[in-house]
Amino acid sequence: MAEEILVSAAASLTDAFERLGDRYAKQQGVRVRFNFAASGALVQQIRAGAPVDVFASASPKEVDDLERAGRLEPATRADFAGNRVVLIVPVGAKKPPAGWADLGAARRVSIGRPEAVPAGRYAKEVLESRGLWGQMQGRLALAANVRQALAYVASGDADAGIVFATDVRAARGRVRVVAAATPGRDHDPVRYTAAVVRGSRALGPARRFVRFLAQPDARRILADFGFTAPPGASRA
Amino acid sequence: MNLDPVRLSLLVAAAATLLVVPPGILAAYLLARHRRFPGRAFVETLLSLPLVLPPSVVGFGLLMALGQGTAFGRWLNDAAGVRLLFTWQGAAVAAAVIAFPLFVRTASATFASLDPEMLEVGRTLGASEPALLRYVLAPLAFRGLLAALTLAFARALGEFGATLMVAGSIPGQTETLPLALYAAVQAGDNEGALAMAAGLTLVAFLALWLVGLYTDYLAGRQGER
Repeated sequence: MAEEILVSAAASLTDAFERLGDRYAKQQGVRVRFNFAASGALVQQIRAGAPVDVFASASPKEVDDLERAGRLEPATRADFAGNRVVLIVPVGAKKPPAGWADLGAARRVSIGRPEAVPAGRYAKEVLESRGLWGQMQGRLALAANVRQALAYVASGDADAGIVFATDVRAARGRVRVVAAATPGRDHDPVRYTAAVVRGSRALGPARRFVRFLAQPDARRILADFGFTAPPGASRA
Repeated sequence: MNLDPVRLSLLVAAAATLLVVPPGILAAYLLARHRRFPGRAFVETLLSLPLVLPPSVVGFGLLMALGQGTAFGRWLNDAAGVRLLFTWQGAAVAAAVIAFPLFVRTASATFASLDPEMLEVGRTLGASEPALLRYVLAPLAFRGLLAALTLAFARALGEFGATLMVAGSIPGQTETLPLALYAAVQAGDNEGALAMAAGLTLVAFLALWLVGLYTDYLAGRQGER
């Protein structure tokens, strides 16, 4: 009987994980299905008892939340990637913001909803560190996940957006990066963290999938999609 | 403008209802007045479509029509200067499209239930069609139209899917109660979600109840005749 695992993964991992899943399936003979959404939304689903085997979050906060709720196998936690936070504008926009300082003049800026979307939380940190958060109120279109924030910019319906550097390739040719935030100064370093969900009925394959994320094969695929190595220190 | 979700929802639903009423009354009146014409079934189906279509289909259609993704949308935004995406007015348009069929069906049933002799009398006295609508039909149909209005308002107040796609979720600008509820659940704020769900359920219940009372009243009155 072919085994199968369900991986709930951050929306920003969509393209990279689909390829990663294929690779893992070939190596291990285990079918991998994905449920992509905002990390915060995935937490709520798993808390509610969704039959998920692995949780892969775009930030450790969501993993902490699930761990506190007793829904994870804490020993399986592992950081597996990093990312950059960038400011994007639609290609072909007439007077696009040229940098963070211009955001004050933008009509609509899309970011993920900070309470549920890690990219949105990082975006909020950037705006706060640059003293822009207050004046952006009422002009921030809060997206349900980072890819939606990207789509608002790609369609030209938002003047700018704050997303992960890796998201840009999912809308290649329709958005361009005008500025990158400085990790550590503008926001907490982006740290992708995965763990096995407590109660998984495929514990072995789930464990192996989390371990696989740190192996050279997976690292190479993640790097192909623009992810960096996980930021150093704290957890390894 | 910066409104809390309750006031914003009331504003959006009221604006949506205002958008629905004029074309709604016209469509309902024409449908009731012309019982038979070629393609009637087709027109009726078309008018009712948003009732059964997934709101995401309506949302997608509006997104295409109102956004930068199509020639028409670009013309609307750039030449005509009508920018509806990510605005409360856009949310009202989405809610209006969804609420429209409910209004037309209820209003058209009301018009159809009126005594045709009343109209004949008016006509023999030389009243024009608009005058008949204004002085005979509208007063007679007032309660029925009020029921239609109540239903449309309640439906507009509860609109979620199309609104999310067209207006996004901007706190204070487009984040109506159903959207705020969704955001609260995504963020794990179940208490906030519960309060909003209770409020929305209450309003929906009251609206349906009032309309039900009126329908019973109508049935009772017809029984007396």
